[in-house]
Amino acid sequence: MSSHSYTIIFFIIFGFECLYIKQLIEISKLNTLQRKRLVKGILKQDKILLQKLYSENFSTIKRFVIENNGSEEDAQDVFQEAIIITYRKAKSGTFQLTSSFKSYIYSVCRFIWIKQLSKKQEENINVGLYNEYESIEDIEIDEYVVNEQYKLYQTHYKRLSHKCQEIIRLSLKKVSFKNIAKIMNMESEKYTKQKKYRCKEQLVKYIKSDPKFAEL
Amino acid sequence: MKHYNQLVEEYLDGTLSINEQIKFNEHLKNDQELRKEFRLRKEINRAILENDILNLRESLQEIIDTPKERTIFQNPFVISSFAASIIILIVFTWSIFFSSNITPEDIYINHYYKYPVITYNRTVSDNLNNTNLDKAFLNYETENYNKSKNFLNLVLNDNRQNAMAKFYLASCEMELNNIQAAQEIFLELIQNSNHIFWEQAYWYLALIYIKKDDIDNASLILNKIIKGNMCKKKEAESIIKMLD
Repeated sequence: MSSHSYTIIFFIIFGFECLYIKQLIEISKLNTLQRKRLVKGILKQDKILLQKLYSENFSTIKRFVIENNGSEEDAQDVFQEAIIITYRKAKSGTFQLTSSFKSYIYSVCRFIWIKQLSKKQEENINVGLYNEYESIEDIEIDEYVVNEQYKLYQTHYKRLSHKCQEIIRLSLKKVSFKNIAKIMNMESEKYTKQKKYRCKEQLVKYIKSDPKFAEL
Repeated sequence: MKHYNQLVEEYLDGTLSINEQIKFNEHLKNDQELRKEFRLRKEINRAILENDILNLRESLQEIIDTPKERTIFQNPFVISSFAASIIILIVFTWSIFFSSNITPEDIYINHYYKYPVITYNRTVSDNLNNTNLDKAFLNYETENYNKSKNFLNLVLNDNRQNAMAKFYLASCEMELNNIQAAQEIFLELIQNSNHIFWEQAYWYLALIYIKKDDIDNASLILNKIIKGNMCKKKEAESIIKMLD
């Protein structure tokens, strides 16, 4: 072999060593301090962190969902709900990261998608195949169910006009109808109360007519 | 007499009089339907009060909707590993194909399969296109690829961005052995990751390069499949090993 070939081989080995060292650095980074920062970032809804979590993990989730009869939109929905469940757990102080975040979020996403497949009961899907994954330590079934319910309610709440959303929100904050009328520049307390009722009825109607409501 | 739902709402708002509250509590004990309605509306209120979750949903939706920036080549470690992989391939490719019994054609034959017709969601607005898609898929499944192409082109005339039509058009070209035409469509499909055929397009493009004996480009695409953790990662790794 010529000296030129040895130089090339040296650079190849150097390249792989760089990758190996980088991996070692990444593993060592996952210490308690880093985990605490991750939880803090999720709780603060740090957009840069959320963007990073999405770009680092979404392709794996997408692959899993698409390979299991889903679409990219399904994968996006699953990823979003997994982060929200993680946020809920962090908020309640029950978020325990015993492996890498990648493994954690993958297992939560897998759990959510399997649950959704079970609901769909599509003819060509043998849900039994996935039963082995149905129970995981990272997520409680109740957490999933509550999250699904609230997602449905919140999605339809966002469909209401901005005015309706605001009246309902203020009334739930125990602001008197008299003050809501003033804040919202509405003609009277009575009208505001009626308006709030109509808005809420619209919301309940949206929710009840959603096919997902029957599945809850 | 106040409406059933109105009573529940007023109870939850705390605007019922004491007497009305007592009556309501009595009803609540005895009426199962009322209890169900009451619980639902109470949970809806709780969900609406989750301002932080509502904000998080919006932030996540924004992130998901933002077109993905490809930062792969901004990372020096990725560049070095990518360069190393390319160098490995350049240095050893010649020996692989002169010493091994497996030819690129063998690899292609072993890995190529006709992509099956998948189910898709219909919307009212594109009924016409779905009719053409149905016809295209029917012809595709019955191996009438030229007819299938005609219907797919009709779909594409209406919407040039229809990734599904493009993908199956390329698949028809593959089946008709019009490799160059298929390559051009797959190259177009890999430009945008916002469709479900993005990873499959990479895979078929790699197979095309293998079939054309263009090992450099095949390796480049296979490495992208591996590094991007795409759905054909295992197959790509196996082909790279075969090439080694």
